[in-house]
Amino acid sequence: MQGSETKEEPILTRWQQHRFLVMIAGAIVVACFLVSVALGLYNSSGAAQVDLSRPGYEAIRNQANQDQSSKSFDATGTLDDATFKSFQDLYNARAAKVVDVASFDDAALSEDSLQLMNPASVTDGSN
Amino acid sequence: MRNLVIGLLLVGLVCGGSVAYAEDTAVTLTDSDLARIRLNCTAVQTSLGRIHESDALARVNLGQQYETISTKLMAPFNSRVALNRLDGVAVTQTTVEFNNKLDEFRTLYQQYEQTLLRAIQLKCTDQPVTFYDTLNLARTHRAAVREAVVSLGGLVKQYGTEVQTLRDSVKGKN
Repeated sequence: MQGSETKEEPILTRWQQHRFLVMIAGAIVVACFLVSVALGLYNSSGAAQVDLSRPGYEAIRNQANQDQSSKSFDATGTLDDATFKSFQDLYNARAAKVVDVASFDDAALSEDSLQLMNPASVTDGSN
Repeated sequence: MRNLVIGLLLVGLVCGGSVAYAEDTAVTLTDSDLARIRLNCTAVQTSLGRIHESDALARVNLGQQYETISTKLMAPFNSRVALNRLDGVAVTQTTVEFNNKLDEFRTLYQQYEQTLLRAIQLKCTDQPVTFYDTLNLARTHRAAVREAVVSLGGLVKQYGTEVQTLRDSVKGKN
């Protein structure tokens, strides 16, 4: 009997030899897929249109309404004249900001404003 | 006979295709028009960029106000009207209309923003006709957004009037 035992090296296949690299590459592929799905949802859901943190919106970012503490009307309780009045005060204050607003009027994209067909070169077409 | 039918179909397809193509490419544009578009379009794109920015701001601010009106004012008020067993059919109907219009506004704005962005990003000096068509489409989409904003404003006004009517009827009962 000999005291020393010879240990045989296990034979690894090519895949087994590179399994760590394969795992890393797989993780990257899965991450890319998930990011592309997320970006697709971001664009198709309309979230992109209201996201002012995107590049190019630096100038207007601070002008966005920062009002996070808008008061909510209580859904429970009696409805007497005083309650109606307090609701109407809240409501009219909000309504004044959306009724008869000039947003998205036709003038901004009109030919008069943009001067696309002007024979002379356009100097400034800001609205 | 069969060959004749196929031949007629082919002629129809070719004719129909050329008419659509002519419409799509805005036949009214002359060479001098195209030259003007090429000359001015880069400056126009700069203006469009500024409009794109200010529209985004208007969309965010208006959207916030609409959301607040719908979720923090209309919905709780309607619940309270129902809890107090008052006639809330009119206010509920207006709320439903308002929410539907708000959904439409979001969709229309998205459509408009994408069209405007396409016009901004186009290589307009190489593709003046496409630029012209895209700009016209953006104008149409913007008009639709404007219409939705006007409708939403009208519904907000209408809801306010209905609340006042409800208030008067409650006053009359007491």
